[in-house]
Formats: sequence, C-alpha cells, structure tokens
Amino acid sequence: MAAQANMHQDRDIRPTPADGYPTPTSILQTSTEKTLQPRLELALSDSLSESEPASAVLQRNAHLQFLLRNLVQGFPARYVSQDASQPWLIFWTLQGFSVLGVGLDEKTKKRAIETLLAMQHPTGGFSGGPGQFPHLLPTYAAVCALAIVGHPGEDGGWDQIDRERMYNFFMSLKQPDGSFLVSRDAEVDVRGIYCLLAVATLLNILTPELLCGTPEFVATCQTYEGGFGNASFPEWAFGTGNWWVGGCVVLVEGLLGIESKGVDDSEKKAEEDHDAWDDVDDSLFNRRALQEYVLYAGQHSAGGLVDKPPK
Amino acid sequence: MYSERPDWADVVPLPQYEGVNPIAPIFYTPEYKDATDYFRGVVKTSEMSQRVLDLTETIIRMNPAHYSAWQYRYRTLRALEAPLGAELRLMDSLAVQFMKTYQVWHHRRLILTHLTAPTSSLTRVDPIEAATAELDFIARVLTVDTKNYHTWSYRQWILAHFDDAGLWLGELPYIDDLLDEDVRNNSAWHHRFFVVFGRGSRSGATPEEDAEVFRREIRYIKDKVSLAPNNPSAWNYLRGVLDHTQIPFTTLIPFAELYAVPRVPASGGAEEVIDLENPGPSPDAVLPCVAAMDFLAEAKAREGGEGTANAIKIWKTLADKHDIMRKKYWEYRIKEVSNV
Repeated sequence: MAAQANMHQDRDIRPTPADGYPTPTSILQTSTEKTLQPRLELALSDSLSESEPASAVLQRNAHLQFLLRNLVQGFPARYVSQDASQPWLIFWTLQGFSVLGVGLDEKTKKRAIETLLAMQHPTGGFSGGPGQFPHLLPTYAAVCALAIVGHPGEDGGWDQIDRERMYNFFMSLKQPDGSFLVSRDAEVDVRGIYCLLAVATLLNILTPELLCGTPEFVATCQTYEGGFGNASFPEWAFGTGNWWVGGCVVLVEGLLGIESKGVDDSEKKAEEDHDAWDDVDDSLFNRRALQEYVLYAGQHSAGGLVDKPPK
Repeated sequence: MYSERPDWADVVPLPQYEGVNPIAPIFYTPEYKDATDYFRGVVKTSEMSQRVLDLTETIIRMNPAHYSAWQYRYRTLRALEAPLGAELRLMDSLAVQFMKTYQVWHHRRLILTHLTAPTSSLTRVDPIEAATAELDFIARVLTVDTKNYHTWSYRQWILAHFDDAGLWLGELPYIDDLLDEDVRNNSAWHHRFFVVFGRGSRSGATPEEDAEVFRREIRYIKDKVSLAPNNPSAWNYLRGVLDHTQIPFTTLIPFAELYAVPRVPASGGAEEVIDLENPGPSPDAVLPCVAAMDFLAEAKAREGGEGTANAIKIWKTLADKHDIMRKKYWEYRIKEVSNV
C-alpha cells in the first residue's frame, strides 16, 4: 500500500501536503523537499544497514580545515557584508574549534585576543570592527570569543575588558519600557537583550537597576503563536526571537538562583550547572532525525555546515 | 578612491588595525578599504558635512550592513538640517538592493519620525501624506519579498505611530489581497491579527461591533481553511482569535471534525449536505489534516471530563500514525493531562 511505503520505521516521508491548492509558499516548500529527498532516502537506507556508513558521520576534518582556512587565511572579499560583524566571524570560528575539541596554540590565541580587544570601544562595549560604534550583538560575540580564547592576568584579555564602561554602555541604551536599544539611535531587538544579559552574567555586572522592567518587556514580545518577536507587536520569526528568549529565561533564573545562595555555594552551583548542560533534554523533539538532517543535508563537501543543500 | 581626491586631502585616513596582526581578516577591495579608512578619519575628528554624507553613502552601497555608517549618516543629516524628504527618495532608489538589512528600515523610521515631528525645524510634511507614501513604498517592496520581517515590522510601526483611522482602514483589503495570492503567507496572517485585534483594534468599539468582528474573522478563517486545510497559519490564527476573545475552542469542534477524519469515499446516490456555516474540504484536500486533529484534541482537552479521554485518543493517533516526527511532543501532551 502506498501509505506503508511512505512509512519507514519512525519516519513519514510524505511530502508536505498542498491540498491541490499551490501557492508560492507551498511551491517553494515542495522544491526544497525535492532537493532534500535523495539525502533523506540515503539516510533511511543507511539506517537499515548493520555497519556505520560513511555518510552518517560528521566530517570532522573537512570542517576543521574550513575553520582553519578562515582563521589563518582570512575571508574572501564577498565577506565585506560581514565587516560590521567581525567579532562574530571570530566567535563562530573559535566556537567551532571548541566544539570539535581542538585547542589553539598560544601564539594564535594571543593574536585572537589582540584582534578582539582592538574592537573594544573607548566609551564601553565592543563594536563590529575597530573604529565602529559599540553594539550589543558584537559585544556578546567578542566577550564570548574572549571567554574561549582568553584568561585572567596580563595580556589574557579578560582583565582588559572595561567592565565599568561596559555597564555604562548598557545603561545608556536602556529604555523606559525595560527594553534596550542595540546601539545608539538604533532599534530595540530582543536578541540584544539576551546578548546584554549573557555578557552581564559573564562579567558579573548584573544588577536590579540593569534588569528593571526587562522581564516584563520580553513578555510583551510573545505573539498569538506562542513564539517571540524581536520587539513588541511584530511577528514571531522562527529561530530569531525564540532561542534568544529561551536564553534570557535561563539567565534571569540563574541570577535569581545565585542571589538567593551564599558565597560558599558557588562551587556547588558550578558543578550543578555543568551537569545540567551535559544532559540535553530531548524529551520533546526527535533528536535522531535532527542529527540525521545535519549529517546528511547540512554538511558541505568543501567543509563547513549549511542550512540546506544547494539546488 | 578618496585617497586620490584633492577635496579629501585634509582628512587623515585611519587604517583599521594598528600594531595588531588580526586573525581571520576579511580581504577588502581597495575601494572599500579606502572608503572605510576615511570614515574612521572623519569620525575621529567628528566632522559632519556634506562630503561625509557622500562618504557614508559610498560605504552603505558597498556594505548596507555597516550600522556605524548608517548611524553617523543620520547624525550628520540632523546636524546639517539636511532635507529629509530627499533622503527618503534616495533610500527609495536603494530599496530593493537593501531590503534584507535591518539598518535601511530603521533609518527610514528615524527619518519619518523627525520629518513629521511637530517640533521639527524642517519644513513640515503632512504626517498622513508621508505615512501613506510609506505604506505604498512598503507594499511595493513586499511584492519582491512577501515575508521580509523588517519590512512588516516597519509597516506595523508606521500604523501604530501615526495611528490614523484612514490608514488602519486600508489594511484589511490589503491583507485580503495578499492572502488571495498566498493563503500560506504567515506574515500576512500576523499582520491581520495586529490590525484586527492588536494595535489596530478600536478601544471604543461596542460589544456588538466586537461580536461582528469576531463573526467576520471566524467566517474568513473557515473559508481559508477549506481552501487549503493543511495550512498551519490559518489554524494558528484561529487559536489566536479564540484565545484573545476568550471564546471556547469547543464552539469550533463541528468545523474541525470535518477535517480531522480520513476522506470518506463518495457514496453513490446520497445527497451531499452543504453546510454554509461549516465549509468542508475540497476534493483535493489531504485528509485527515494534522492541524485539525491538533485543534480538535486541544478543544476536547480544554473541555475536560470525557473530553480528556478523547483528546488522548487523538494525540495517540498523531503520535503513532499521522504526525510521528512529533511523537515525543504528543506523548508529552498525554503525560501532562494524565498527571493532573
């Protein structure tokens, strides 16, 4: 029966139904699914085989080479579009190495620290590049990158972050409704709030003054679909507001938790936090299917990951 | 190149990195490096002049995401009390190329705010005229990219900021057109909610007017569902409307049931009953519809009592047969009601 042929173990590979009423959205969806079809079929047939097929493996070396090329050789001219996101380019690269369990040599780390510190703005916060204006998003990327590659003490990067000016920078962006602009004269963006909270946590500059009204503002960003928009009333955009908001919740809860415990508990809390992050809670989603998507559809042959295969 | 221009000879260009050998460098074109070296130069001296407007335009054309160039441009425009109407027209001509970036929309917002502010020192433009022109502009951009998040946000800001009854009135026909073109455009559905129940709703409406709006929206949703039942946008909108108006989901059970069952083969001779209140699925609709089953289960679960057992039955068939990718989610729903 046709229905049986489409059911495969715990998979249903029927195309998304268009109900005989095609529109631009369904046409694009169908086209994307067609591109993915061969990969999906390979994944499903591989899952039946006894041995571990080559395709079901993260091409670690290829991805490492991709990251190394970016780090050492740099980025081609078309990356000028990322010129205002230089901390992100560095953070994503360093994060990639970190996740793949690869350490950097001391010389490279030093260069990375110097590069990042060159993007710290004299009035506080980090910019998209040296000489640009401070902005919450590159601030997050730069501080996280320094967290990976730096250390306390002289030339370690950590102590060179001006925490007082950072705090003043944050407060200069704070709005009466509890939100924050991402940069002077710029937009309110809930992702900026997550970036601010994460950095304030890392730098230990979270205060009630900083957070006043912010949880209430974030709540106003929830839409009728249950997800979160970038600011109050615009649409929930899949993948944009949501994971940033999820991060906010964790951080704010963490702040409340830390505040209620004494200094002696800090070590125990650190241990608890480590355990919590070790266990990914996949009680709501199909973890295996997601892994297979990344492995079969998300790996580029030249190294690096893509959101979907090219047509 | 600015380095070759005599009218820029007095500016000291500043390289990006001094005494640092950066990792992961970007290989700029000579033109981009030149322009941004001069940008750093004028920022250092706080120069705000016409030539700075030229320079920032050059940079923006090469990299529309350069938020510092946008910010400095805006401050320069204000400092020079430059004609903002002309700035808008310039932005229009760059619109299609730039529409994917945040900055171009925020720049428009800043300009519109100042252009129409009562305290503006510039020749005041009629706010409603300006807003109407913006809505037309936004509609043109949306024909190229019907779901651009920033474009839709900007449209909503225009409507909320100017808050003019005439402007609000034009939105529903516009949304109807968009949903006629593509009933699956979730951005258009969201905009509908904003216009009908969000900032657009009239606070002075009578209960009768509210009830009529509700009836109209339910009719609209039902028609759109019958066109393409497996369109999640329509069902999500339905849930949003019911939650907002606090009307129980159970009132829509007869409608949802039409879509939550497998296709019944046409029985020869029997007369088909057409219920105008509850339009059914077209012959090509794929049934049963997961979104309808989801809604039905939700309605029954909220009903409680016997409804809970029925909800569990539906969630089970979703988990085991009709929506197995989300098996764990359906099992979570079952567990949730069972633990109460």
